[in-house]
Amino acid sequence: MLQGVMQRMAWLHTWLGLCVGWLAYFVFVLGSVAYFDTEIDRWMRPELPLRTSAAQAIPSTQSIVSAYRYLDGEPLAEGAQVWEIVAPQGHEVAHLSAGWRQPQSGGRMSRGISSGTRLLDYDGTPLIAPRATGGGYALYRLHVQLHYLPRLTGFYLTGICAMAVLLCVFSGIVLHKRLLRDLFLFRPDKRARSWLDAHTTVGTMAIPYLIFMAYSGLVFLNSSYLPWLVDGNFGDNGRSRYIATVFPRHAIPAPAGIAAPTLTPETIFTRTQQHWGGSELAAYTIWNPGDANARIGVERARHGVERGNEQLLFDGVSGELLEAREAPRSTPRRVYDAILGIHEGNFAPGWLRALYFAAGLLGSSVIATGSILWVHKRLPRHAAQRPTLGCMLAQRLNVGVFAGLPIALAAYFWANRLLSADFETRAAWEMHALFLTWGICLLFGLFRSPARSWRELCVLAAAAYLLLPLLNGLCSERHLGVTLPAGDWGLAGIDLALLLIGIVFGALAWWLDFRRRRSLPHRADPLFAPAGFGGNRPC
Amino acid sequence: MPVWLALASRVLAATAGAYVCSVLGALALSRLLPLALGPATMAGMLASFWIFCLCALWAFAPQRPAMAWLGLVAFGALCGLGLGLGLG
Repeated sequence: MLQGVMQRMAWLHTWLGLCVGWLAYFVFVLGSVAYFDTEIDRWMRPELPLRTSAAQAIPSTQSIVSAYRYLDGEPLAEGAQVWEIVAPQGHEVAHLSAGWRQPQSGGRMSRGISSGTRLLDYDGTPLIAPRATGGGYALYRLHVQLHYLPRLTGFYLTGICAMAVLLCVFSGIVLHKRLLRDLFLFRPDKRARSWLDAHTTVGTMAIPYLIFMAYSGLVFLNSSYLPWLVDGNFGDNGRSRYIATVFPRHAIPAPAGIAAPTLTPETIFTRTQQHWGGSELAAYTIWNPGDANARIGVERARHGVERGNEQLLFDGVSGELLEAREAPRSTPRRVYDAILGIHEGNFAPGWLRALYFAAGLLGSSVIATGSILWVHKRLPRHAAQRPTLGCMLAQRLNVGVFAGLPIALAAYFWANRLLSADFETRAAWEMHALFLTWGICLLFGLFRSPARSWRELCVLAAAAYLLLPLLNGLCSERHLGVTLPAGDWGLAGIDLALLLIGIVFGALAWWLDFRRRRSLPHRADPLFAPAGFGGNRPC
Repeated sequence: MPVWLALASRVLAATAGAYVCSVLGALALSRLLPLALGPATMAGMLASFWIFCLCALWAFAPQRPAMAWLGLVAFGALCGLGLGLGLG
């Protein structure tokens, strides 16, 4: 057994793919959806205003000044240790936000840990508090750290999954030497051979995407995956020292306890212009506002692929420039930033993110066709034989996982619209709705014959997605009738994409039905055959 | 050697063996590169996943599992030598 290197590679490719396929599919589908996390965030918070081109043309400096005025008059922000203003930036940050952090919250400059945050209109007027929702960001987190698991466990599982994908791709390349020929080869109606062709065709097309995404996914959490390397170079518990070295932060002094007026943003902007000209700004942070030890940090808006931002640190009282942090200069850090920047796709305009999304679905379909192929090769050819238990289980789980996950995602959106806006734990229940629906789909796939369950779940998915824009129209004022005339393509795009996905699932359901009707009994495709279609070929 | 034992040995080589080799390789690389320790560690990390991948594939390449292990041990020793040179 396994005498040749090709056989061993085939064994590795097959069994590793089967073991991690379902989790990898989950990670890839969620990752693909997460390219539109900001737009999904906005869709799931319909109380927030539309993004018109006129509003987007407002300079970031003007928005920051408005937010500063707001913080200056906000009683809750009084005595705060940090004020943090994040300006809208392209599709990445949709709304101006002003946050503050009280002294007990710690002294780290990091977005999203303020003890209070308000979303503001461009003129500094507080926006109505939107409903609590996980939004697109929760889907992004789900793709990285899964759910219902300790964070680190989720990281390790997705890391193992990413490494397994890399190994599957490389062993697959070894197996399919003639990649170019495989790219154009598809033989329909040949049962397992058709699935093999589908797997190799989409696999060949997705090779660059799969390799890059799996590798960059590992790079994201490298220090968690390689603690021995960090400790080996930085001593015991060296991770914090490593992070401080590679990702340095501004050194901020403690408050002096002496009141002193902090410089206004207008004064600081005259100084930032000397460095960056009229560049757009991403964030404006004041440490120890109103204190003699006040510090003001300004972050330049990102351009290009790299993640690292340029920052300036000023003395908040005298306006003296204390530190000018340019984009990272060391080659490994720049490579790291570029790899992560390409993985996240935040630099990309809408059309490019749509391509990312399509590539992600292509990657997911490689995994799905691989798992279906595994089952197909092991199903018996004759109706009198019964498949093995493992084979039947994989066949039925495939239905629940591959067809069930899109339905579960639709349920997440449905829950957002159907749960009451003042329901206390609604964000958590949106996620519960996703997993409950997926669980039901898995059970449905397990107990229903695959011939029917594939088609029925596709019909359900089509209905769920096609009705979502309608539900959106009934439950909110951010439907296509409003978003399209206003030119808010981010929001309209989500509704249009939901419709498109619904149409695709509808077409798939029709095709499965057509295929079932067309097939003569002796040509019946065992993959979609009724339960009890048997055999004892070894798995 | 029974088939299951050969497979188990290869799987162990492709996981634990490859992981140890990747850490050793990354450590050696980070010590040999003419960079500050922080960026050099990062460079080692960037390389470590490829090292892991190559080692894991190597575990399934030779006909005998013992040869796979021998290759990994040799690579580990080479990395250890590099690490020693780097530390020196």
